[in-house]
Amino acid sequence: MSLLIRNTANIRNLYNSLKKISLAVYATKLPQYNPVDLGSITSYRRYSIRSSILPSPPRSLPRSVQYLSTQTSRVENTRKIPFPLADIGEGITEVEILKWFVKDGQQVKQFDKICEVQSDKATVEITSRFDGIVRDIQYKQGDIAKVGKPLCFIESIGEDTAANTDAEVAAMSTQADRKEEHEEIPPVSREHEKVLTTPAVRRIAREHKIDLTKVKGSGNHGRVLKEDILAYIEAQQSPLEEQVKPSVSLDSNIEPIRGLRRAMTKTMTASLAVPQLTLGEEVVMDRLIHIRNGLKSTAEKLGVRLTYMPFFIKATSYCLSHFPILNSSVDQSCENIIYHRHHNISIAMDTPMGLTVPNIKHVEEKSVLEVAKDLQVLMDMAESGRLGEEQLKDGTFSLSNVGVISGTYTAPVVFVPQVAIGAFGRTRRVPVVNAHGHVETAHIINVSWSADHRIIDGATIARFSKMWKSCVEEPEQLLLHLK
Amino acid sequence: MCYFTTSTNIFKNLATEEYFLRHLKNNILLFYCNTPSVVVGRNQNIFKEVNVEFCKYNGVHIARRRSGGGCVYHDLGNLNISLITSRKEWNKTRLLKCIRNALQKEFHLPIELSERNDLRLLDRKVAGSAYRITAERAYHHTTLLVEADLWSLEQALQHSGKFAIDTKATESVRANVCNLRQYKSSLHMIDICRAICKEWYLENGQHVVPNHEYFVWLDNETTSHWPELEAEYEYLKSIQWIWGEGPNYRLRCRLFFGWGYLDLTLQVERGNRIVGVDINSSSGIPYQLFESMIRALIGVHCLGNVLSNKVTEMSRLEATNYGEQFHEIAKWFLNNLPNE
Repeated sequence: MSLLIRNTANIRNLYNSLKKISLAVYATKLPQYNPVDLGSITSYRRYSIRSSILPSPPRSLPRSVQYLSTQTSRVENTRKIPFPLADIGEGITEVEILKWFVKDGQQVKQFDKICEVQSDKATVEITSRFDGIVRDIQYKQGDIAKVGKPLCFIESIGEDTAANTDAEVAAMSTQADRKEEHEEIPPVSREHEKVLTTPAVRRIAREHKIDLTKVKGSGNHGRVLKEDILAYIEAQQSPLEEQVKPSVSLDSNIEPIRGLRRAMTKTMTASLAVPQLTLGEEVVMDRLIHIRNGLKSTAEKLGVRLTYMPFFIKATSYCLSHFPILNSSVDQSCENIIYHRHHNISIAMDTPMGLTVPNIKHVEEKSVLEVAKDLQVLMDMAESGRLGEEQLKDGTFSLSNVGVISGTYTAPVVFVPQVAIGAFGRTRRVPVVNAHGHVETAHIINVSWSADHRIIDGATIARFSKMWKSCVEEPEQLLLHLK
Repeated sequence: MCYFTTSTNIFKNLATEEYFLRHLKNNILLFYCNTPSVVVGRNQNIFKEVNVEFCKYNGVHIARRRSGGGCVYHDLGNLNISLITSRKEWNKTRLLKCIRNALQKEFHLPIELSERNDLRLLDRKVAGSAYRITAERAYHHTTLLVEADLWSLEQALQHSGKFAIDTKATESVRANVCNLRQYKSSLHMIDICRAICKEWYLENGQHVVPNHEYFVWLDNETTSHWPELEAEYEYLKSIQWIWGEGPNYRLRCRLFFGWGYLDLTLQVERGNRIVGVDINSSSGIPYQLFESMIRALIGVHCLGNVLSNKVTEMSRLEATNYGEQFHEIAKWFLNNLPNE
């Protein structure tokens, strides 16, 4: 033990003296340490790190000893390696931390217990992969940790002595480590991969088995961005798909699904995963027809074609302010509901290219006339095929007026990631029984609402429908709420 | 290698399982039966899952295992099976499939594997599972209901009536259960054990000698030759592990006495230490005395005898007028909370 202490004291002295003397002088001026001994002392130190905490290398070394300092700093290089939560298997993505066995600054050896976690009936003991000092514990007891994210950092002094017996854990973790190391010291360790990217992009590349050197980078210094790799994947997939030609007899005509129809296929397949609830309602249109006829001439003078849709859209927006959950989205894993502030009502349109759903932005702030103007603009753009991404993205609620073509009863399909949709059938003149028990005729439109049953229940959509019905049957009510 | 332990002490058997996990290297199939006891999962709250009063009056042991999951009832008609393997070979369903195949082949029982990784006999649960994974080894254990006392099971696995618990602990998923014996009354524990061993050997491609005892009786009653097992047994038996290793919880209970009523809320940290007390009372006792009682109780282990000692001490020093009332409160603690 005393030998150790003496050596440590000697090393400290060595550093202190290094601060003052230059390289040439140093080589001659230390009689008690031969160059051979210097090597043995430093190598001795590499093994004795476990029992002593060393002083960090002095920051201000004179320039003449820069050469020597890089050599000694290789021995003293303390790197904080993140220790990620390894993949436990069986599709487990997150675990609860039950107990920590280490504290910040505690020294651990390989295979020492770090913490205990639990995931759905399985308790797992996480052990350390290398020797070092624990730093920056990321979670407290009772927190949920995600697989792949670091649990804590281990400051490993000297070379990485990880010799892991568990093959899969080693493969995943060392890959993660190498990538993390790259992120921390990018200019130095470029010899492994010459591509400059973020770990997220590397992960995508790994998943799709793409060689990053083949992807063209569009960021600074040729950095490969997420868009680049996604574009590369798209480019890779499309020629493949075009090559796939099903063998069919000469009587059938093969038409590849492209463009808008392809987008529709994709969205509808995604919508199928969502459990949908449909609610139908019959709405009496007489008063609205009367009002619209009265307003039609004024609107035409202002150059706007006033149909029933602007009224429906505005009524929807008013009702959505009372039922904000219908103006939301569910994220992919169905963990969070994202409430949107603005009502961007998407209108389903049939264009020569197929079904498109552009939306009118911020309907809650617009008047019926402005909504009508926007609708007209969108319809013109759709007909001429000039709809851009700006009109198509960020819709929060959908309406479909398929009844304009034909149809009475519909069961529309929710357009993910939205949570609700409404569809209108044809306005028909039918006999109804009025309050006094007499039969009279009225104009009836059938409205069907569909909603994502994961977060919307029947009562909510029914109440929404009831409010919407009253807005349309007695449009004067909206006057009270004009903003 | 298949072993059946001779001990029926739950703590000894759990310690044996842990010992085999840590100190042996080969794959082991371990069987054991216990005297009536209730075993809670690693991260559960005992008051919430177990009827502590029922267990106390009927001599049912309460234990905490090292693997996760929900709460189970053990008795001599309940066979526990544990498969201890290396971590690479850990598989969630291997043991259950083996048991299911064995029961189907030998006894023609219509057992199915459900998605929650339990075994169901005509929609009633007969076996559940729990797992533990360490650096190099892992185990999967399950308990198979052969001829257990289902009435006791139902009574023991209920929320303690007297306490309202607020905690983030793991909750058990309740299921309707039935005994294998109810389907086929000629079943014996030993026959089932033999069938499972045989199936295990067959699945592993090992040679099976018919009419031979397939497993080895393991005497773990005397643990003196295995010091690690002894240490583990002591630890699993200790109050610190059983009552102290659950997550933080808030316990609320109502104490009714002849002279009034007390609404007591204890905030207990992991390690079974009380960090917060709240008392509301409708008796005539002045609030300062309750405040001094609160000060006496904070930082103390949440155990019956400890709390009652603290209360009697405090009342002796300060609340001489209300000595009788505090004595009754102390007695309540002694009777209703777990003792050292």
